[in-house]
Amino acid sequence: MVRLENVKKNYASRCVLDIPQLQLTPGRRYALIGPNGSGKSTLLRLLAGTLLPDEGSIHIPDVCRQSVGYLPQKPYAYGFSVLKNVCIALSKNQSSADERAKRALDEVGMASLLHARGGTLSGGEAQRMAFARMLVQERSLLLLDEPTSATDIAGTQLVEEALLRYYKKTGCTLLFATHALAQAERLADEIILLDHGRILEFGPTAEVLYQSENEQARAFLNFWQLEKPITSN
Amino acid sequence: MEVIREAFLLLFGENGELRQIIGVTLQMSFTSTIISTCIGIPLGVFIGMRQFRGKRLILRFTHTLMGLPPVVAGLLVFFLLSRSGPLGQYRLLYSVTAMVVAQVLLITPIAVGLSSSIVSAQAPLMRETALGMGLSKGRQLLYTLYECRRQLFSVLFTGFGRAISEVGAAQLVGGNVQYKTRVMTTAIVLETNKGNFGLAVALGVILLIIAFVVTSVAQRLQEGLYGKA
Ligand SMILES: Nc1ncnc2c1ncn2[C@@H]1O[C@H](COP(=O)(O)OP(=O)(O)OP(=O)(O)O)[C@@H](O)[C@H]1O
Ligand SMILES: [Mg+2]
Repeated sequence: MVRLENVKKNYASRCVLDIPQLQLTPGRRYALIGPNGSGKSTLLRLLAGTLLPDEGSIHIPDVCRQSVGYLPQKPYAYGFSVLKNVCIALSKNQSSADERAKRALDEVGMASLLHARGGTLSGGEAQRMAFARMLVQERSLLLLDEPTSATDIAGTQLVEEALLRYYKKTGCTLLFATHALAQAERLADEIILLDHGRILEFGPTAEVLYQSENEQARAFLNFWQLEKPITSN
Repeated sequence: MEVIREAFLLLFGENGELRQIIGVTLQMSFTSTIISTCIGIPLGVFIGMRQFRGKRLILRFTHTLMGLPPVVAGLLVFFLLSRSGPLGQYRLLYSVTAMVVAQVLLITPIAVGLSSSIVSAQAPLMRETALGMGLSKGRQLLYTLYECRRQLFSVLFTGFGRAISEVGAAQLVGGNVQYKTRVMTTAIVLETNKGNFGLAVALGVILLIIAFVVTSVAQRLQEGLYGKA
């Protein structure tokens, strides 16, 4: 069980995240939505441990602590080959690291770019490579920051399918940020809607998307409702 | 044309003095570049990657020292090594060693400053990814060095360029002693003072050629190591 209590994060005395209480149930999939600057990445960073809260506590069971996989919003592609970029996520004594890395890359349609240099990848290619690198570590709590913000439609589908396959195989806990509400609807059991660093809504996907009674939440979701006929199908 | 001919004659003529001067120049420049970068680059990388108390102060000092006037460095070394100075017993003044010490004093801060700003520009881009993957400290350092290798290599060029072109400190602590501590720059100053402008210019041209050759060789080496930029 992942649990946050009274967590606050400030930048130059501006509070960008204020979460009195949040619990994630193991084995469930959560989508993190909200406008730009609402604190999605900040929340993921705190959970990943790359950022420390100014106040409050974050409980992650020890088993999970060892086993957090985190894909940052702007993942870095090292200058060496794509294959090596993925291999470095695996410890050296892991047998068949190469094979596993190749399979993971193949899953997201990167098989033809194994030997391309990290620095030469396009935005979407780099993102898919980083996704494969995260997935290959086989962690049990996955934190993904907008994993498909740069991928094309086919790439998005590959990433989503790989994620679902992995989820079905391992029963991991999944928390991902996204601006594509249709993606949240496809992948998540529950939705966390952030605004100005606060949780506006937290509940089952359909309830939050279609039955929210919170006025601010409705205002944010209405944009999407208007767009929906265009974005889906 | 006259200048080129004169330079050519000096280089390959009967008189070996110029070749000896070039030898001293290269010896001094290479040694001081290697010593300074061996100290300065690791220190700069460390400062650039870490966050610690007093980092800003250290960087401010470093940046001040980067602009240290060569004569001041020379003066410092002069006092250290002169007969009555703390290291006077070693009789190092007016030797190539003294010149190297002064150059190291000048170049090390440059190597520290440059490499710390190279690394601190790159490290944050990698930080989230590296921490997210759970990379060990050692591997983080290794990959950071790998990503910055080209720019860090260029610190060598900068150091060498500074060493070979510097005159004030070399003059002060080397003393421009014939067949011993005379280097290209001090020889140019000497010939200019004597009114041998043609010779001075010819020496200048040779200095440029040396710098060009050394840089080309180093660049080849760099490309061989890492592939073309
Ligand atoms: N290092 C920092 N210094 C100052 N302010 C910061 C810093 N990092 C984040 N912020 C601020 O915190 C707020 C939340 O940022 P965060 O990255 O969590 O937003 P987000 O919800 O992920 O937005 P986006 O949808 O654009 O990715 C923003 O207003 C941002 O400007
Ligand atoms: Mg973000």
